[in-house]
Amino acid sequence: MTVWAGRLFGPGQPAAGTEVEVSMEADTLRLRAAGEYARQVAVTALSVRHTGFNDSQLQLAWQDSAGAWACHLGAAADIAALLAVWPRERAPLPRKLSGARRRRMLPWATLTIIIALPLMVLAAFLMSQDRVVDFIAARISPAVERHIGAATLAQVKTTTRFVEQGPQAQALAAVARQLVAGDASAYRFHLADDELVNAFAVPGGDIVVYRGLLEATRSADELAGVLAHEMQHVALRHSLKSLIRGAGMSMLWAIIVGDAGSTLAGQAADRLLSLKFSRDAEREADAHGFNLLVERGIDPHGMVRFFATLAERDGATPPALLSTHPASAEREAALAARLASLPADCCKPLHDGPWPPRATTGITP
Amino acid sequence: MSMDIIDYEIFGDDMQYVEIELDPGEAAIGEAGAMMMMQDGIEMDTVFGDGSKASATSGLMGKLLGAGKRLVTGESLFTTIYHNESQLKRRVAFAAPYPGRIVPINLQEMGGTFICQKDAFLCAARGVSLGIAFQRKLGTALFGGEGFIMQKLDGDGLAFVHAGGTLAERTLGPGEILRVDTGCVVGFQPSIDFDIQYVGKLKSAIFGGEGLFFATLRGPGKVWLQSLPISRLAGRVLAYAPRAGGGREEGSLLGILGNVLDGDNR
Repeated sequence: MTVWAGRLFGPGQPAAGTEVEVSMEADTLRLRAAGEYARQVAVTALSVRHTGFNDSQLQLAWQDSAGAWACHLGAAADIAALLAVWPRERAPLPRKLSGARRRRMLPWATLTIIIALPLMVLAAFLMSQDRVVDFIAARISPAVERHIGAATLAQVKTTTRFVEQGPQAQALAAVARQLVAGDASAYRFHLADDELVNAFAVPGGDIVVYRGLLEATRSADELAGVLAHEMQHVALRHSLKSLIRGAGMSMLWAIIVGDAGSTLAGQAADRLLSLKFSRDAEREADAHGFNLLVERGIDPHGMVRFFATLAERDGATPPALLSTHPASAEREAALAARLASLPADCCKPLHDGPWPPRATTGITP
Repeated sequence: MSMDIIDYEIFGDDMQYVEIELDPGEAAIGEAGAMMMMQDGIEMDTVFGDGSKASATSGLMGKLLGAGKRLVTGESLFTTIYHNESQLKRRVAFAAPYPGRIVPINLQEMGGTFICQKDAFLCAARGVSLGIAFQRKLGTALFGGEGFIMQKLDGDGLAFVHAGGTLAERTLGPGEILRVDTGCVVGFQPSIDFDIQYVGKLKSAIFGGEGLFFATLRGPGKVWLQSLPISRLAGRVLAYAPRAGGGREEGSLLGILGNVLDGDNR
């Protein structure tokens, strides 16, 4: 008679169970703990099921006046041997136990779907994101965009002082007038009193130029180049689109990874994606900005020269303007190619006064 | 048996360490980086793999496999063995890596095997082998809070595992079910059926804050639960951590001025 190793749980037994020897005799299950007489249970009283971690154990459970009992078999060989000698005609086994493994494939198929589906959704979004974003952006009215822009500008104003008058503000306004020509209402230009070499556009047409950038330009043409570039961000609704993209991305991200999206890795991925976006946008703004300059008869050499200046400073401390911008070398090359295809006498330099204009000191008369 | 019988003492309340007394010739294995102090006479030896005798005699492939398993569970490839080379009793202490409790598990009492969450292991008597228990129930792996990989401790000596927060030890009778928040399971006997259960009501699932599923533990056997999984603690801390460009502050009457007065301007 074969004996298998089992573990008995039940009333009066240790919490973690007792080691028992299990054997099968006719229609009776015999359990013997070390130094004890054998306990006998009729097979008809037993309910049999797989249980335990990964269903790796076989449970033989029964009830008596003392309470619920269970005997567990752990080793796969023991389980197979016990099931082989089980008197099936007297005590039928549940279908799951008598049939061999059949549904093995199902969990793996489900697993694949569960893992692959969110990835596919993400991939689909990434691949068609330009179309999706354009579609949504087209449904947002300019009024809403201006509203968003006003809120952004208000926030900037809390930390930065804007220069309303003086030679620098006048110079900025003069260059801006040349650029906007007809549609003056679409854009508003602001000069921020800050040393940063930066300029940015908010949705709705407000463009903020930092004093540091104004002072870094060596001619009005250079400033015009930067303004033309920023105006394209407004015209092409880049900020709005990146806003939509960011919202969509974090929503998808949250759906796919749940809580984990709020971790550092999630945020980093988010930021990387938006950085990639702005580089494409910068390239686009460069190209359209260049065309705008030519259209208005302003010399685009200034624009190219200024980006080259920025690239030189790039080595030491990168100006804020560059942090989200394409690699300067690549950008210069693209613009230089455009310059080469330009007719020689297309345009004339702007403004011939002293440049850059001085900052106002004290009160202007 | 091949196990070393070790005496131990646990110190501290919520940030504990366990001090193990080794007789001459005895040894303990520890998670890399868990050692806190050891007396003179204890030699430290780092081995590739899990340091169990099975792995030591199984050749290169066996060792690689053992090490690979440890890599999968997110632990170091190496295990450190501390053995007492002196003629006297010597002590070595292992500290828990985060606030919580150290639980001594008598593997012999458990029937030779204990399943625990994958980073719970702290130290054990030499001879305990560390393996992975791959969760094959898909739902449990995805929603049970412990993932696909759990850790399996085999042997018949003492092992110490670590749990976050306060520890709850429960004994379940045959067929008895305990519903647990996902992530709170530290470990259990292999006779326990670890599964998941849908919370039952759509409203609770969405707004109840416990997610879609409970983890369920069905007896018979012993289970250990932790009140504060380290991932939850980390999540909360991260939510309050200062970020670039200004973090979230405790509500202060002084506002920005308060930050200046603080002297801790970032």
